[in-house]
Amino acid sequence: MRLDRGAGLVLLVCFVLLPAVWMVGYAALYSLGVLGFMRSGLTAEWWWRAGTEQLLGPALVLSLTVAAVTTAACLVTGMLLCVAADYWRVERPVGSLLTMGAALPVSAVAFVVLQAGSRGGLLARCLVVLWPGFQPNDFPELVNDGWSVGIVLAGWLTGIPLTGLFLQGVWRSSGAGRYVELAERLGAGGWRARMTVGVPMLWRRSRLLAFLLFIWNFSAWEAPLLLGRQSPRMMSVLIQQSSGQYSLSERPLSFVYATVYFAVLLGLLLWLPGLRSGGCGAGGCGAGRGAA
Amino acid sequence: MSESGKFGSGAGRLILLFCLSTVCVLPYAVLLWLSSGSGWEWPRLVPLRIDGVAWQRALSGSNGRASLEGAGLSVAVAACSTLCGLMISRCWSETGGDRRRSLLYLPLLTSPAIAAGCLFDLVSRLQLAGTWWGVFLVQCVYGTSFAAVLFAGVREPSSWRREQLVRSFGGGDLAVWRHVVLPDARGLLPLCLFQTSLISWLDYGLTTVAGGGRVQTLMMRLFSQIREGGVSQAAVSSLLLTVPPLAALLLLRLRGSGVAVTGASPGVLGGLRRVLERVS
Repeated sequence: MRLDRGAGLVLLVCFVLLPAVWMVGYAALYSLGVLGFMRSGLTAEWWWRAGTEQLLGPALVLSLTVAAVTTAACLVTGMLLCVAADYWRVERPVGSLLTMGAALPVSAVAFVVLQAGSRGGLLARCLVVLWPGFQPNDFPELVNDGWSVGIVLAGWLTGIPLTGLFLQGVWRSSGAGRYVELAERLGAGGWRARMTVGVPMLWRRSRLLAFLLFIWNFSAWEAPLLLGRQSPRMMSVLIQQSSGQYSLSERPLSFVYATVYFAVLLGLLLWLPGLRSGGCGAGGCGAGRGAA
Repeated sequence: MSESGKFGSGAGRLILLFCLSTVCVLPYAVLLWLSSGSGWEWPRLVPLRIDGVAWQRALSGSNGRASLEGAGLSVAVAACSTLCGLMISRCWSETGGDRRRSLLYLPLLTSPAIAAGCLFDLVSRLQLAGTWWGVFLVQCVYGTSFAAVLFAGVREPSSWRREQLVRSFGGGDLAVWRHVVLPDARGLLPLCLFQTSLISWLDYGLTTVAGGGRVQTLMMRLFSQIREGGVSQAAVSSLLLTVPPLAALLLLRLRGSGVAVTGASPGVLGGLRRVLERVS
């Protein structure tokens, strides 16, 4: 083996594989009482407690639901944007605006949502000014609410620029415009041609993006920390807050939650190659490449 | 196109651009407005005092120091991660099949707060908890994973042939790097440097856990200001945080490499657009 490849392998192990194995292994062993300052030998006590405390299930369901809703909203909006930009021939200004949005960090977006959407925020103040007799309590809960509207909104606002830019790139590289033009020549209306020909082409080539967006939203932390409720919490907030923020005795519980989180993440990642080959195996990618 | 069709087209175009401006540009306007003054009494839409105090404070004292130190850290993380990623990409194809390779995305896609919680003990054992070196190390794990995934697609069949050619002419490792590896990666180098520096610049989860509150970056200051209710200060910090991503986007656009960097939540995904476009 060449010297640089040997060094690359060492770096791969030290910077990528070892931390990955350490994270998963450490969380699993800590949760079983084998590691850590509260180790008591192999025990399922913490798993039992996690199962009976009714925190894990709701957090998992909330995280998966928020991730699915945010990802779906981003994809639908991104596709509509892409189609509308092509229909009205405004690809360049749309691309520039999306680029502006892409530079906003999630914490800044979450802060804006917090300042605009809370009951004492800018939107409520606008309503008070415009609508005499309006009370702060009349304003709907958009932040720290039961439906996690604020988290979804922040995820959507940060996901839109990326999705829009990616789908615009896919539209160009797949040659969807030419198929749409053909459909129009065959008598389809402008919108119908784009929705029935262009959108399926976009969908076939954006499955991997959808998958990674889903994982990203599932792992989201900053926005749920600022905009979420204390119960139920998103998985990452639950894990971080139970890892010794209030009581060190709850630390093993946080590693139970972390192990479940890693199990879900690993399951999704192992599904990734199937998704990738499935996406191309359906003939969509081949068609797209051929057209490009 | 008929008159009504023309009007509908113009109106639709305007509505589309207005809605998109609301989503993409309005947050900047809100942040600028919030940073303009102090004294946001209910239900005022205008602050009591419109002054530049928040901006003056942001550029001096602990905030200014946090910004500078955070910038230094992000430059160091970018340089180290890009170099490591390039070297890892040399042995990438020998690391197994697609399924095993998917696991290499694990550090990259794990929530930083959770990853830092699990890595904290490792950093403590290395006596680096609560230090800049500890934060640098855990951020490099993320940066290197990103760089490795990004550069993995650089190697094409022609790269192998060119490498063999260089070696058959008596070239060593340095010559291979000079004539094959760096030219292949040249297009992705700025993207990788920018994105890995942004991973560090915009990180909160890793810094807050591995830094133990002793390492102060601008992002750490932002969350402190939000917790303390310093609306104007937090708005200024948010705007300062967007400066490097905007600069990176502008530079990459001027350079003609398209827009691939993003500072948003799925920021790394933005950099991975090339990877996504390659495999999808």
